[in-house]
Amino acid sequence: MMHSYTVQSVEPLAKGTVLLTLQPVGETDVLRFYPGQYAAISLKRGLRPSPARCFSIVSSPNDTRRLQFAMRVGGRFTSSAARMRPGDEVRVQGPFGDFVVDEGYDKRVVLLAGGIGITPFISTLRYLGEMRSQLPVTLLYACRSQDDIPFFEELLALERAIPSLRVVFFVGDGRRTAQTNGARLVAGKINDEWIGRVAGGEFSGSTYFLCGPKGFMKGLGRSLAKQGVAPHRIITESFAQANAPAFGGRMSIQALTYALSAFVLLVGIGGITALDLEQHIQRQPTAAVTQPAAATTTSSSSTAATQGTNSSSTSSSTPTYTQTYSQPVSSVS
Amino acid sequence: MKRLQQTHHALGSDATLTLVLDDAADADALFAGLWQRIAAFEKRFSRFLPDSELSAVNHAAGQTATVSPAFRRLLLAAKAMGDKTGGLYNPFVLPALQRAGYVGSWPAPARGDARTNYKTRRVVGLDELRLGNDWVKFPALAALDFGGIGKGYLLDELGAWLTERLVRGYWLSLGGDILCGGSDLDGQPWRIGVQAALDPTQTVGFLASTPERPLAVATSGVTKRKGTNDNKPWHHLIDPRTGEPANTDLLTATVAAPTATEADVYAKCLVLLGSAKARIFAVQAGIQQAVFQTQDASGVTHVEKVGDIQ
Repeated sequence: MMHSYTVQSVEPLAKGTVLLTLQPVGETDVLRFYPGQYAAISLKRGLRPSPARCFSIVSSPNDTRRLQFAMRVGGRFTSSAARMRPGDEVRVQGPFGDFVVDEGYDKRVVLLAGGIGITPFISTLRYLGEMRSQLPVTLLYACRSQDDIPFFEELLALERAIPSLRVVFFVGDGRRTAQTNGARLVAGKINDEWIGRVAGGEFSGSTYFLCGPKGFMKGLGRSLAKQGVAPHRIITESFAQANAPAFGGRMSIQALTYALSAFVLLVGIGGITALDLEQHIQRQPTAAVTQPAAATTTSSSSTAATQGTNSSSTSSSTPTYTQTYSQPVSSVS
Repeated sequence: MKRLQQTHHALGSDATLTLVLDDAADADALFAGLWQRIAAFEKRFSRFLPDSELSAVNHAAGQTATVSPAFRRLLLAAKAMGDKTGGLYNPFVLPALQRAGYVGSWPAPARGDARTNYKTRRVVGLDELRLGNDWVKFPALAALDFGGIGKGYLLDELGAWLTERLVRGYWLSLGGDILCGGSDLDGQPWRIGVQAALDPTQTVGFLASTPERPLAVATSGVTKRKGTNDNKPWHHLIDPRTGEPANTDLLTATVAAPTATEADVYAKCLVLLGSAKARIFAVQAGIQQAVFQTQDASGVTHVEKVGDIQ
């Protein structure tokens, strides 16, 4: 379902990263979502909507007055988003994804974030804080440098507010300043030793959520599998995992993003075509359909979901169809 | 022609969607549309979500609450099934269900959100429901839940949506409630298995579909969503007449019906009634195919088939 929002603010978050805050147009037209899910955003430029891009929602679902997204500015879409002004229109569709902590099922949670992959976890942690959750959660957050940690102060504040939350920052360039504000800062990368430590030495007792660059997730996913963590306990946002049963059970709906992007674009095309006809200008719808391919190659990604959008809309990657056909059996639900 | 299938977790259980298509190029959009509808339904009607429309309506209990057209349609369906079953289906049993122990979403029923906890409220009859063009009102100490009808109703909506899209065939399962239409590959009928009550790896029979009309099959029972609360065993099928989990000889009841809404509701009613009264109810309700699974005192499971079951 499409929701109409307007820009409330665009603020710098960290080096090269902005926080886009939207507000709903109507009180009832509010996107409802689980913390950890993502949405597709389309910017309105003049009369034409841009192709949609997917970003994890940063705000808590309890906060219905605003919807926030954080993005690393680099490509055409994110550069446009960074230049948006208060009052500009944005269309939001969703929510999507299954990257959701289930307090009823996940008894101990380890969040593994790389760079801008922190964004879905911010929504999750804000929500858990508001709900006074006692779920044991550890966030291991890897960034390139200490100057480049989005939500650094907020994460420290969340750790103070949520007794069962532990946050450890990993600084890839190995340089740490003396001023750490009480943060746990480790030089280097997230590794098995650290994961084992936060998991209390028992890897299989936790559910792991991974979000970050492809290589980051692939590497950590393999490590966890080697340590005996069951596939359904490793949750990622990557679309590249596709049919891999190793991450079965709770996977994002990857094809939905591609279909959605195409659908939003086709709706936009319909609007453009009608308008152009009204203004006696001829357009070719098929030409516009190729826009996602061009745009995605230049778009930066704030989450693996967006990276997945890039690959799925330009390649012939298949959705998550089952490899082995299951027969229909009626059973107690 | 191609048969494609996807499975995801939705509505607290596994959902499997299977489509038979002449042109697989349509597949992605069709599956996306189905999952989108399932997610939207859950967001609107889940009793576990504090921000769902259902939760908003429950918070407004005692007042006139504006409801969406979708909410009103489901309420009308619930009212109709309540009338058809003489009140045996009742969407107001939620307080009793939560008192029994089923507060949070399965598989963690003991843990629930305080904002969706209605344990202190009462079970009321469907006659206490007032429904207008765009509003609903019921007693302040009552709480609505669509747990006994939601999956079936949603299946019917999804089936109608697929029918408009002229797919060759489909079967959809939401937690074991199944709706099928059209035919399988090469025009073969769908064969819906009935799971054995105490052994999920076995089936005790099969129902065959016909291409001319959809077939819905639902199984209800006391073998899955259950637990103990203060050392007292419970399961999720609350008898509105007693406010307690049903205590009959039926482990499970499987019903085939033209609509999934009917199959869903009737299956539960049969379990509430027990096998003797269930047979009478099935005749009166026009149920042509059913399977009753019971367990005797010595632990032996018995399977009784009604109608054309292979």
